[in-house]
Amino acid sequence: MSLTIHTQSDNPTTFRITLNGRLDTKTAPQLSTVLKNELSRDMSTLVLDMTNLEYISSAGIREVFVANKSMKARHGRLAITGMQPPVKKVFDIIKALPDVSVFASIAELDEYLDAMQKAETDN
Amino acid sequence: MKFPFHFKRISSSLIFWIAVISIPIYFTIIAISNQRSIELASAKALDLAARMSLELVSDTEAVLSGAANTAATIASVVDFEKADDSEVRRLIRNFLTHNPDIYGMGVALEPHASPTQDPYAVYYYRSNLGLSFENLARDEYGYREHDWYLVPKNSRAASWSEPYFDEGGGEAFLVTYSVPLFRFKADEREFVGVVTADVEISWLKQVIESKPKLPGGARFVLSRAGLFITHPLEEKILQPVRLSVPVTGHDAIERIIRRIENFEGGSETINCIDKRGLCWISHQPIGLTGLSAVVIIERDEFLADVFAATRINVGIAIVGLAFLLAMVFVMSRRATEPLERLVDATREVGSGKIGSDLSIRERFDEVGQLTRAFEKMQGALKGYISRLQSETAHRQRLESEFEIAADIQMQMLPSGKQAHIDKGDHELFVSLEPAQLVGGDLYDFEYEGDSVHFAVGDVSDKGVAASLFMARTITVVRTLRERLQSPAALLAEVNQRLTQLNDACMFVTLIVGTLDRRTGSLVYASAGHEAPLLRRGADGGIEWLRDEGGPALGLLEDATYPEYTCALNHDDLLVLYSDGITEALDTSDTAFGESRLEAALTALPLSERAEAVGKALVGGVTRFVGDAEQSDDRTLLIVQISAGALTSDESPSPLSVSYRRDLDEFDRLREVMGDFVRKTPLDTDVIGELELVLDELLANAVAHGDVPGASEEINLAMEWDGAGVKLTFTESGPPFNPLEATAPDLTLPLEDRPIGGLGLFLVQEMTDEQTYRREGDRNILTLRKTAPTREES
Repeated sequence: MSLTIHTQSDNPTTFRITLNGRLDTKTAPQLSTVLKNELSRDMSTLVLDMTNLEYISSAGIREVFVANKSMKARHGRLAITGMQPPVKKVFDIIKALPDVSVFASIAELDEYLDAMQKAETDN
Repeated sequence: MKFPFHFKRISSSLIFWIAVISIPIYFTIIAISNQRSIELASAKALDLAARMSLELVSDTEAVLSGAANTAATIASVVDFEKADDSEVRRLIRNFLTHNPDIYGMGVALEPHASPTQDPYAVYYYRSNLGLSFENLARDEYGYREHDWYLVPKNSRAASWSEPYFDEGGGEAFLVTYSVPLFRFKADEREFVGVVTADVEISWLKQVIESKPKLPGGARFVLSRAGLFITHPLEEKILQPVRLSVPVTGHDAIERIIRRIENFEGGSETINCIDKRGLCWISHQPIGLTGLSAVVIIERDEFLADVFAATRINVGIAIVGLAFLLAMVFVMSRRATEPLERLVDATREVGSGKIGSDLSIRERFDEVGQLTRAFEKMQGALKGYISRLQSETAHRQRLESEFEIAADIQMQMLPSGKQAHIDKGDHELFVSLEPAQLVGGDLYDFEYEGDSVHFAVGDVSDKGVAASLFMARTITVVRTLRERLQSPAALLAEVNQRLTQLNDACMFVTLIVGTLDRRTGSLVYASAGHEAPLLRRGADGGIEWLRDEGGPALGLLEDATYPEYTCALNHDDLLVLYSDGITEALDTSDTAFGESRLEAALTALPLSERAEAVGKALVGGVTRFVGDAEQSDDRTLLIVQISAGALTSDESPSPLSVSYRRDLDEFDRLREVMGDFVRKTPLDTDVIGELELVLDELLANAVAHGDVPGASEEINLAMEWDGAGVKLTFTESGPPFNPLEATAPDLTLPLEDRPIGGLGLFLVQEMTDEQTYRREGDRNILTLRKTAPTREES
């Protein structure tokens, strides 16, 4: 099983990348390519949907690091949703989670994003 | 032998013994002295009788012999054939006048010898009128027929007559001495007549009565024919002695009479004639008169004084003895009466009442001292008792606290002092016998999923301190086990906790183990605890799990503990115990020892299950110890796999796979690995984690392995050791130890972390053991994985 990546622009400020399958050493370059293309967009929030990601290796984590670094550089944020236990365990081990906004489900994330957008619009 | 008398009082005992000893002494003395007195008196009495009879003889003999001499003189000086009658009469009167003791005298001649050739017999005797004359030649008197005439005529010798009443003559009781007169013709003597001299018997009586009276004694005179000449009773006079004597039984009297007939004297002791008792008798002949003076002394009467004296002695002895015993009684009572009060007071002290007033202080002897000492003791006792009471109360409080503590301690153990649990796939038996109320041994077991964790420990020392440390230990073990599944890690962490704040340097030996109930895989680690014993269910073989453990817990900070694995099979029985079992001492201080434990286990049939085995071993130790005091807590924990409980008997065979240093090999590798792990009882989560390990190692090899001398081929060997899967990666090339790769700094924010370096870190995190070694030109990395990695909270 390999990795399939689906991208989607939810609204002008939020971009979503959905990962299905395994993000291992061999498939990590696919995500790297997608990120290179999409990070040039103007957005404040990048969402990585890992609901269907069953495996991640250090190579995959490195891509998450890259995305996080890039978003921080433009004062945006990286949000991860739907993290499965095997994947979450790896993040735990390397203590990567405190810096990333993690949401248990898409619904939870949407709620958060709506709130954020409303706040920005009000300003 | 037991003394048959028991006296309740000293006085009774004193009186008894004094009486027992003194009464025989007294009466022996009295009896001896009485006997001696009787002997002396008896000897004296016989002597006295003899002397008295001799005295009587001498008193009478003078008179009688005087009479006899007078008669003899007349016979010798007068020639009766020539003398005329007046001459003879004058001569007789003359002699009578000069011999007042003679009653009468006479001369009698044969008719043919008298001057007148007629019967001739003249006789003068004393009467109230002075001397009276009687001519006895009268025909009616017949002087020649009287004994006093016939006896000397026939015997031709002078002799005394038997006493007789001279009727027609002297008219009195008389004895007469007759001297025969002879005429000489050639050589022949011819009897011609007699000269007689009479003595009145009443005179003898006067002589006797003039003698002083003798108690029990009697004097009398007997004739040669055995007639009483004198007798205190008038009517007995001239009566034969024999008439006064019983017909039989008095040979002695006959003997005496015969002696008297023979003019012999004598003394002897005879039975009294007319009464009971003994009499002393002595008799002496009075010259040749044929009379005998006889003295009889009745022994009993004579000795009446002696007997009276003896009676008085006995009386004095009885009175004296009674007085002595009374004095003994009074004095001993006086001496012991305070003792009785002391006895009462002691009884009261015994029954708890202290402080009796004895009030006998005025005495200064031993009893007084005893009393004062007793009172002092009472005072001291009072103090002791009140102290004892408060100390007892204190101790009871402590004991009840101890009991509560013991209850609490028992409640800390999962199943109290003894339990047997049968979960179907395995049985667990546990027994803990504390040596004291609270103890330092502990055991624990806990079920978690398919695993059962158990532990047996023994805190150094005993008693309260040990029990508190035991409580601490069991609490720490329970708490830490929630997150530390590995026995080795658990021991290390427990040690860490116990070492802190352990100034008392208490320590505990502990063995912890985890048994996988599906696979029978046992993982264990020991901190200085006794080696477990394993009985194989297949053949009953005994194995000691003597793997080297770490130090006891609580001593060395940072101590590490090796972990061992052992595969248990069906019916295998594992015995964990504390040293209270192997070091149980019997009465001769011999320890039970491992060999006895092993022997006891071997002796049990394989059909005996955990509970029976446990009880048999505990019972064996108890029997071995016997009456000796239990010196240490004894804990025994037995785990036995039930038959048919394990899911699979087959462990996956070791597997080896070679792959190229190419990312395309990954999918093949992870499939081989997945198939292998699925044959083990490990959780399937392990597969995902090992995929990550393979992935990272392969990525690392691809990224950094392309160096000169490095081979393209890498070999992976997989092996199941009963509890975990071992992965060994072998490749040739320059030395490279992936375990020494710099660990990433996990404290940095993600954006500041360098890309890379995470892979090898993840490999170490995802496995339980990692070792690297270099063999020749090969790098050999061994990883071991026993369970899914826990997510840290």
